[in-house]
Amino acid sequence: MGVSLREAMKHLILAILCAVISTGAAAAAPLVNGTVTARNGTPLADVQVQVEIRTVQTLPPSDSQGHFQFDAATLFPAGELRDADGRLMLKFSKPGFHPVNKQVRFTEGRSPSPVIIQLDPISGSGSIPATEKEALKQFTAAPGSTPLFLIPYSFTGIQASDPKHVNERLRANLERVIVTHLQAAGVSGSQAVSMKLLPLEQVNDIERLRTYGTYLNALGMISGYGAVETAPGGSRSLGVSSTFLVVPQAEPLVGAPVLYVDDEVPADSVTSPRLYKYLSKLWGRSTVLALGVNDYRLALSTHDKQAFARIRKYLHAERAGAGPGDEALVSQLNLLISAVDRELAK
Amino acid sequence: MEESTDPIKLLDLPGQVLDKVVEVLTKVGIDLPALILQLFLLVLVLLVLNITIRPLLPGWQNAKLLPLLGAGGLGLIAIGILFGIASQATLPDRLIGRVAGQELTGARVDLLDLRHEAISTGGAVDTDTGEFIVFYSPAWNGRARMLRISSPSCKAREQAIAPGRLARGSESTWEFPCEKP
Repeated sequence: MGVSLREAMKHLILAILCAVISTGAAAAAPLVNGTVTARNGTPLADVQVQVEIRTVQTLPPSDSQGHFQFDAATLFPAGELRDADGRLMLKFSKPGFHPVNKQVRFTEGRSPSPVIIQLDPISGSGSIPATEKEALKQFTAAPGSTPLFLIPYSFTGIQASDPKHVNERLRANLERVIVTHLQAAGVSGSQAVSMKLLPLEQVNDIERLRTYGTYLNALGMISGYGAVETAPGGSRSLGVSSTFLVVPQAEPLVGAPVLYVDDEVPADSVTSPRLYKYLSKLWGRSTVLALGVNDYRLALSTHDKQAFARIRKYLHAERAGAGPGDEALVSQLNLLISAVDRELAK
Repeated sequence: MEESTDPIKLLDLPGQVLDKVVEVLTKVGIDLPALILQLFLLVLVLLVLNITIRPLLPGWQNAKLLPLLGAGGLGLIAIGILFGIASQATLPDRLIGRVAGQELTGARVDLLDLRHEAISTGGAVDTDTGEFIVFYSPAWNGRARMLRISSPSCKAREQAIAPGRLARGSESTWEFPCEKP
């Protein structure tokens, strides 16, 4: 009887110890850290960060690298932290950007992985419906990459059973001709330029196109439509009308949207060499301009004279190759070259 | 979600009567938290019960049926109020869920009581996933009756909360179709 009583006592003490330890672990507060950036990857300083359980606690704003961190135990009483049920709501806000709330989960007092938050400018992706955002999330470009996005063209008169297949061929051909153009123009990093087909319906509204582009951190957005027409003589031709939107903005250099709409392009099919010969010039040059704006923006943040010189070189080469019909493009190239020259003269 | 019509819900009957009483009191300007009103009513009922039952006690076998039934009824009401207080005290003090909607920027949820007043803290909604956790004190404020979802760009939407959605471990989804204000 004495032995069993001792055993029972041992079990009781063990059970109490376990209960005390587990209560302590649940109450143990996590260390949370993370980074706030703009959609294009630029770190955002002075972002107001708040943490909410029952009450809201305000942290020091994010530093120049967009970093923030806190120890939940110093912010909340133990009781409130236990009530959190392993969830903390982080609230981020900065003037000019849409606020973001992010629920962070932690278990058994373990700190969660670093939190990465991207804020959208007020004119950015705020108006993209959540369902589309979800569908587009997988396409969002990582900082440093330079993707072009093709919104499926709507074609009429094409005997194609699968419009998606036609657009995929269009995408593959355009990617090839653009990369070829960039290599010929001697633009470094041209290998990194890729084109992706987005699962969206045709977008004709430029501001909407820009909204998608900003959300996706795109270099450029391409959208358009085409139609096969049969002439009275029976010959068929394909007219394609395209929009190329340069997404990166380097205020105040390019304040207004940079937009190129091509003319009707005579060709007989989506795979016509004539079509791609024309488009390679148009879109290749537009891509060089987009890369120029993007590189200029990055060089401004690092004050890199060598980068400005490199940009100037390939912009000059592109301008030299421009011909009739490229007036709008040349005008934008001139604006960019002037801005680069000003930076080089400083 | 539809309210259950399970016979066991008859136990909620005194609670529902109490709701009506609270509604009437609110309308005449007596605007107090649920627990205070419940305790006030309980004291009132017990006083009346005491007054009713006292003359019956010396010879209760010979008492008339009507006063006995009245006393029994008052006793049941008192038990109902106690049951109501006990059942709301055992409710979880939080509601965890998800808002399904297209415009979740700056969205938040609030719990409303019978008087249509916000009784919750917390309630910010995750901009991407729609998840939220909102806290309140059911013992003090009574069971949350409505959930209000609001966001800067949409009209606020209020939905009745079925009791099952407040149960421990329940994580339900709340639709928030955006109607422009």
